[in-house]
Amino acid sequence: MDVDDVTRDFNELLRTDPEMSAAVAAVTVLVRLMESNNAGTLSELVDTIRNATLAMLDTDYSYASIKSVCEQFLRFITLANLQDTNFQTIMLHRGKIFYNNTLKARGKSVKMAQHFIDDGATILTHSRSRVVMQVLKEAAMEKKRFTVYVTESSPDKSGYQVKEELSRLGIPVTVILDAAVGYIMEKVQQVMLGAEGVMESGGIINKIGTYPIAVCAQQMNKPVYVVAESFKFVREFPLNQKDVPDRFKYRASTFKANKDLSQEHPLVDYTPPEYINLMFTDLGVLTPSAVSDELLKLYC
Amino acid sequence: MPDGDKTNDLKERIALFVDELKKGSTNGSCDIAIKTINLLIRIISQAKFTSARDLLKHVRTEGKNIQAGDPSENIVGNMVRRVLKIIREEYRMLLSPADESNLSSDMQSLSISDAGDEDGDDYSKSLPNLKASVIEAVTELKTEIEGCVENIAALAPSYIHKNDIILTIGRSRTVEAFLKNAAFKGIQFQVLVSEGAPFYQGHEMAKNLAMAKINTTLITECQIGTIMPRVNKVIIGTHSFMANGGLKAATGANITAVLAKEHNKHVIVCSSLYKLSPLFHTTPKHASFNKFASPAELLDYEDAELLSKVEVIAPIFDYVPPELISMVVSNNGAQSVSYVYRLVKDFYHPDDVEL
Repeated sequence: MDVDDVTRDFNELLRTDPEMSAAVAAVTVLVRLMESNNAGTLSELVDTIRNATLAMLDTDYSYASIKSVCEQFLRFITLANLQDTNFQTIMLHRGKIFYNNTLKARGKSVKMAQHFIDDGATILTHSRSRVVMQVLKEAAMEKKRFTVYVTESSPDKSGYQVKEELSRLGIPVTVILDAAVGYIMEKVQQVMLGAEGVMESGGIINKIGTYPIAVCAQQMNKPVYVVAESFKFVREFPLNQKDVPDRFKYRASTFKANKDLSQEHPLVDYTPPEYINLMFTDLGVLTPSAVSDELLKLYC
Repeated sequence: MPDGDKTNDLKERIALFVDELKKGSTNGSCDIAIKTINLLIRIISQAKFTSARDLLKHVRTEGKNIQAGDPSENIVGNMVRRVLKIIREEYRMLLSPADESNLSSDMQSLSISDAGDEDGDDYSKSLPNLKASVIEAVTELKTEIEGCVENIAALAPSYIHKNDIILTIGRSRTVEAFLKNAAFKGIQFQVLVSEGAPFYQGHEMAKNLAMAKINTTLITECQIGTIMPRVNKVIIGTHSFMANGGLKAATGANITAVLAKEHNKHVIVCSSLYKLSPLFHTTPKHASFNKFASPAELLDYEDAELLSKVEVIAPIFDYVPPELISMVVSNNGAQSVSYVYRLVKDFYHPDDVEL
């Protein structure tokens, strides 16, 4: 498998299954890569994985989530005693453990969030997050009655897709303008968001428009909940929007076209931890301050 | 059949305790914790099991029954979960003593999503020594709980200084011991006690403090706002802690904390760690959070004709959000609220959060 195969494989996976997140696809590709690879030395294998990661980061899918999951993957598989036996078997075994955990993560996170949706709740969400969609769908399946407001979420207008999908399940959904967040906030009981990446500070990187929603909710004393799997935890510690690396904010194709970034719209923004009340992850319900702890466990 | 007698005796004891919980006739949180632990020790010692999994299941079922006596009494659930965690730990210890040398398996658990690794561990191996070591560890926990209030009180001189003016609300045994110990150490300070209407537990608190020769003033709830600028710090007790560091405390706690925040006064919470619950305060509507008392104290029976026209409610608990609390003084020392999640991780196993 060379770099082109990796990119093709990765794109193919995401095209055939639209419900697969970029992170899961990335891990799938990496495990396949390890299976087909017969590197002679440890550093050769690590190099192969690094190159594959770079290739996948060069696509237009969420940079934050691919980066976090690939870093964690590499860290996890090399975090073993590789001295006595064949390192490839151990690493492949650990790779598969990681892959399985990644697959299970969404289900676990969704389960954690269920207690926080009341019968009769009014929920505001932003953009289309697969894991938030799953939370809402399962809540509806449990026969909870609740109302959803979703921002139309420029520039891709994914809010309309949310409306279509949730309406099919009989959940009352209203699409609101991105600019109407302040208007709608007083009607809302809680805000539930997804995340592309969770930073070490406990803040999140998510679709542009998340930050003003969180600020507004905090101001009006509405709880802000984030549903995110632990493989989205990434070792970055931004303090403001400028600190977030440009690669997180713009598509790979924007860079390739050598466009003037000051004239481009950023696609994500950074929401600091003080605007987030709780996070529902596969590791349990966490306060934002717990994120750095979990990251330390892996990267100590 | 002595065995059957024992089982019946245990059932009776459980029923008695559940009844006490239902009537609310228990005597303070420490009492509830100790009684729950005592019952759990009996339950474990009489349980017949072949594997740790059976024991976990048994303790969980019995624990659920006791908790059902009063779903809002978090301490019962906390104790059951602590014991479940002890069983898990003892099982692991017995299974692989001195695991430190085994590097590879140690590293295995060093993963960000290591919860998945534990799926393989189903606690099914039979270990003959399990019962004895679990009971020993639970007894240790009991001793720890019995010493909680003393440990907290011993910390008082670090937080109460000469000429401090301290505000407290209602009555908390822990706070009472805390203040008394400070006075005993020769620190001169003044305490303002808010009476805690409609149950007026503050009256008893003020009396007890005054008897300990502490300069005590009793005030009504509505005066809190007036005196807050004069106060140095607010010291309160709590019924229990939620996992995000929020309090489930007697009504009046929230308004006091809000006022303290407004005037930039520190709010210190004295609480033993057995009060720390792994649950979250999800929504105010959540059924097991609050309890309601008889409104007889608020509205006399003589005004019965009013009853059809007004709704009188007397909730017992307030939820105090974590951002209003400066510090928690516990039997392990002082902790900041943002650290509470760490304690929850240490005390409870994630699979036990839901009983």
